Amino acid sequence: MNRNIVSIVLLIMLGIVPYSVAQSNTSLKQFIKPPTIDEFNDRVSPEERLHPDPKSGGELILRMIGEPNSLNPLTDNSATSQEIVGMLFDSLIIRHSETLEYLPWMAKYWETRDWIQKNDGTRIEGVILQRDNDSVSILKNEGILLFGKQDIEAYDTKKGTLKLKDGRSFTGSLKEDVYSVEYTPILSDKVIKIALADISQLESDPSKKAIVKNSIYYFTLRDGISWHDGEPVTVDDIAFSYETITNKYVDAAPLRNFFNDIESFEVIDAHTVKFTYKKSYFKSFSVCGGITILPKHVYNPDQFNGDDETFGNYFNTHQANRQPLGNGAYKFVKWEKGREIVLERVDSYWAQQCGFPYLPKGKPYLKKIVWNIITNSNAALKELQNGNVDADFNIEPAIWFSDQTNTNDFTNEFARAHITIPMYTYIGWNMDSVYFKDKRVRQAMTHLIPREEIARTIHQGLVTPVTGPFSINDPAYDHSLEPYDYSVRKAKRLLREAGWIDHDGDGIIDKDGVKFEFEYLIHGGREYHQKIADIIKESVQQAGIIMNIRKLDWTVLTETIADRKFDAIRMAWGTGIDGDPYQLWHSSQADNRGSNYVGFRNEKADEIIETVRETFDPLKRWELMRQLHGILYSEQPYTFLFNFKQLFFYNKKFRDVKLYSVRPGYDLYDWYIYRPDED
Amino acid sequence: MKEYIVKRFLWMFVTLFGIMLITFCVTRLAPGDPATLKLQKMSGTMSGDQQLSKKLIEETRQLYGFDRPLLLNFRSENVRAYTYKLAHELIDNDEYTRADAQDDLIENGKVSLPYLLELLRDKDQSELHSTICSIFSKICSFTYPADTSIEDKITRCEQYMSDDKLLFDATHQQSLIDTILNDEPNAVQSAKDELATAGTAALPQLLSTAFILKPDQTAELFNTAAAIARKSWYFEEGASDETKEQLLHLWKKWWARNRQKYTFFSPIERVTRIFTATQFGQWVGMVLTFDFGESYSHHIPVIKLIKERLPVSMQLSLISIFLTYIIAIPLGVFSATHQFKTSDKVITVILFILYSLPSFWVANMLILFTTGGEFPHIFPNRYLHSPGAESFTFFKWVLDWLWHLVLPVTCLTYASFAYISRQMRVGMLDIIRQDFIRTARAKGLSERTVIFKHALRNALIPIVTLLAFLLPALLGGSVIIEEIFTIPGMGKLSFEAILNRDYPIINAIAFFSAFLTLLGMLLTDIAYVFVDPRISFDHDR
Repeated sequence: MNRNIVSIVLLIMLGIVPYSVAQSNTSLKQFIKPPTIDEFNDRVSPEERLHPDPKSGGELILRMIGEPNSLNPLTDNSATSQEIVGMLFDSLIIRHSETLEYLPWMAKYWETRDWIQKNDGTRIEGVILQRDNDSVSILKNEGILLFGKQDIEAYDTKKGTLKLKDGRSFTGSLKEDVYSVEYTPILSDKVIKIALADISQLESDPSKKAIVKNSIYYFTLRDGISWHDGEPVTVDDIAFSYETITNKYVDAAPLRNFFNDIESFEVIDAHTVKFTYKKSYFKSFSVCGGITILPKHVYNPDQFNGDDETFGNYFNTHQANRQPLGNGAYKFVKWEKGREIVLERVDSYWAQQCGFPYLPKGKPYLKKIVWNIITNSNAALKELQNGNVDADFNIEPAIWFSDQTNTNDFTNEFARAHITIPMYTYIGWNMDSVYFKDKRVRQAMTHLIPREEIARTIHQGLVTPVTGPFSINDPAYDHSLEPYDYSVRKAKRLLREAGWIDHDGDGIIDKDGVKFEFEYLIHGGREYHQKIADIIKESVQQAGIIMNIRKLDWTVLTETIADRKFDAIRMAWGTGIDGDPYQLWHSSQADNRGSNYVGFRNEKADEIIETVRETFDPLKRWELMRQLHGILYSEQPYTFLFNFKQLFFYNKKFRDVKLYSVRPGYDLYDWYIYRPDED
Repeated sequence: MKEYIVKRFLWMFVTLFGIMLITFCVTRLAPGDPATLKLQKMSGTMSGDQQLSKKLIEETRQLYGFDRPLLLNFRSENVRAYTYKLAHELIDNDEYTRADAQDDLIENGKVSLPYLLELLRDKDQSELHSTICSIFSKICSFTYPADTSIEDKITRCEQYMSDDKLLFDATHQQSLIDTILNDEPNAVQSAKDELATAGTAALPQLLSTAFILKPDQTAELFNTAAAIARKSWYFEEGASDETKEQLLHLWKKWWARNRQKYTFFSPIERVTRIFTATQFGQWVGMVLTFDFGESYSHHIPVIKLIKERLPVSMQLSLISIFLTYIIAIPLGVFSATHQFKTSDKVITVILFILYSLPSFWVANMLILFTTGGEFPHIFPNRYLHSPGAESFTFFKWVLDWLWHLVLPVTCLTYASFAYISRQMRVGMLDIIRQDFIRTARAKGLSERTVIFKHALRNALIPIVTLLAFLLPALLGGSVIIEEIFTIPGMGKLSFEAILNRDYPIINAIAFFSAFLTLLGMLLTDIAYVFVDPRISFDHDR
């Protein structure tokens, strides 16, 4: 269970998949890489592997590469801040990191509904049962509920009966999963049939009928959860959080972006809240379920009489930015500016009282977690060796390969771990430029890039070549596609087919009087960008192409991209596992300074991308994504380069260090200190 | 002397204004702006699966005040321009911008109607017509019969406007307001109702009247306005004066911010707004009130941030400057008095070797060899205190602090030895060849007295010149050393501010540096007088 990045909104920012409808996990699992446990720690004996003995207590000191500007969960979207905030705040739902399944957490259960809008303006919500050519059947005012097994007294999937511990019972069809039971009501007298002709147009997309699936979510808040100061967590807190996020004077635009599609938020009763979406989108559920809940009593918003701007300003600069009050397993202890941030486990964590089968007893184990701010890598290594730091997740390749970290003394004490993170580098070809509009030219360019050599000499083997826009561990990645091989011969043939021939015999190929001389943009931030560019420059020369390298500052580079003033560019995208390809590959994003800046316009791809957004079944979605992968593979709008590995060192006394393929790759809730002598 | 100082002070203001203008322009002309950077996240990689709505970038820009022009504001900012802007956003590419524009227009209410009608009459804007018609009907809460053509809808809107002409007439509104103020028994309710029907079109008249009068007379007006503007700021019977004051303040603030959505500015206001309603005007206004704004990324007032960071940098720079001078000046004097001797040459060579070593390299070497790991752990390698230093005894605390200072101060100091001692040496050599020194020696004074009493004071003039840059150096801190030794000082603050385009911090630091440099120069000039009695600023001498 990946608990440390609890703020699920963060997960979504990183692009991790949500799905509300529990699936049969056996089929999902074949696409999801299971985490490895203590893979890089040879001190763990085989016996201990079989019978792990987690013990509570102890502290973990982490190196932090830079100090966060604030610990406000809404306004600060830096990774450092989000990591800490994620340990302080729990959310309504939680994602099981091994099955990628969403499960009840602060919400006891939830209900998913659809809605249909009729021509007369009335709206019917319920469960859409079936859709014919001329009509739609909907089970009015009912929804699909998902209960965690810990809250169920008894259930029978055959009879379709379910009884909760609080005494309520349900009859309907049940679908059992490892940790949860999904309930769909079957009450035929509530089913109504609506003719398609009576259904109005969708306001956000007038070409479609207003039949919006999975667009209403009811969450029921569990009793007995309190803030670290003892105040109870209530639905008012959720309402306050929603209002704060959507207040445009709160400096949280990146987060608010996810809430754009919410049409309304309502508090139904003392335990229930309702989110209604304007349209159907597979990420919606995790956005509203993952909302960061803020303590209303700390901010006392009523004093502003509805003056949004003053409240926004008050919130942005509030004292709690530096002393956050949370509701999670860890509470904030202190933040010494420029030195350290300390969190401590709460004495009685509410989630431990709920009997979640997916939260082992005593977890999280570490009593105290300290982040030490050390900006310099050499100093950080010294502190690791001096015993002042237990783990450093930001190891640079230079340090990874240095002599000091490869001695026996060092490797006896510290595990050298690495994990492939969802991030890939690529060279983008401007498809609107005269050189790269032909797909054969782009394929030729890919054939001309010696990726194996670059991986070996520049990245020293710390990267994995990829063939598409997904992480190699992404369930959507199509492993059947072979990487384009390095072949000048094939490249030359493709270029010739595309009409690029050396007509005037000056050694440079040309077409329609234009010589093939293009500009290759790189970010001046790292030295290896230049080295890679030099290798490519030399390689394309063999095919009679001149490449000019231009180094730009990051902000200038992003401006240049937005203005489409480039031929080719080397960049990287941080994606997630099972993300949404819309932003990068949909043709609508090719204009107006959108992120599809290479100008990839493909009708088939557009269709797939649009379907993906409304596909809630992950297996079907991944199948579609693999098709998209195939199209991109053949079109080569980018030459996809590498997935990168994150390198880190940690003290071998820590156990149950699981490595996940989602960022950040580790989960501190798993970790405990090995102490065999104690009972 | 006094006259000179006063004159210099006056010039300082002019220079400062110029510097502010230049730094302001330079920061704003540099590519990238904080709003987009914040949304992209500042790093070498961008997030590849978050489609950002243009609307949100606009909102963030507004929040940071970038929606205003930079230096001069010639925009027409009034209800007509606002209506037109929103109307054109109705056909924007971004769906969220479209939806927002529609909501904003409906919220702006009846005051926009005349201008919407203008757009409806304009044949060139026909692509807007159907949306505007539907907004029009929503504002006025009427409906068109099914299957009404666009032309008929427009006629219906025209009809509405000519029926309700009186609603938009300021004199008529004023007479209604007077009725309410005079508390005419039978007419008050109907006047209120009529104003409520006029909706936002009545707001300018209502509020401008209400602001002039005393609060106890105007409760009714404000309450009518509150109903129109859908605000919860009602003046209730028997509310305390404090509450009333607070409500009035809220109203005034809201009106100052939103006036341009409902009304036109007077010519005088428009002329002043050319200079004041700009980003630069706002910044100058802030400097004049000693409020340097809030950092975009820290969300803390810049002054508070500087107050937090300045002492950290000051301890480092004060100590290292003190050490530099205390070591370099005697070295310079020694080199001068032992010119061409072996000792002079050895010192020169050593100093130049030190001078040529880059400090980031030395700092990393010191960390590598003296802070533990497989080497001895002699010094700490980060921050200024040990963890838990607050509970140390004072003596131990000071020792711990000095122990932490050794490495950073070494790195900050060694390179300046060469420069300052060279300056001192040259100055000294100049002086000791002069006649008065020969005279002093001829008088039979001891060499020590000659050098330290007679020569040194005169030789210090070039060094005093260097002092002018001391004050800004105290403020500036050192980016490299602070980064390497994880010291949260001014250097890091300004460096990160530049990376994040955190304008309030950059501008404030530039302002203070400029001010301190000017002050330093003035102090240097004054110091000359003390060091060398021959220098004077009075013309009559």
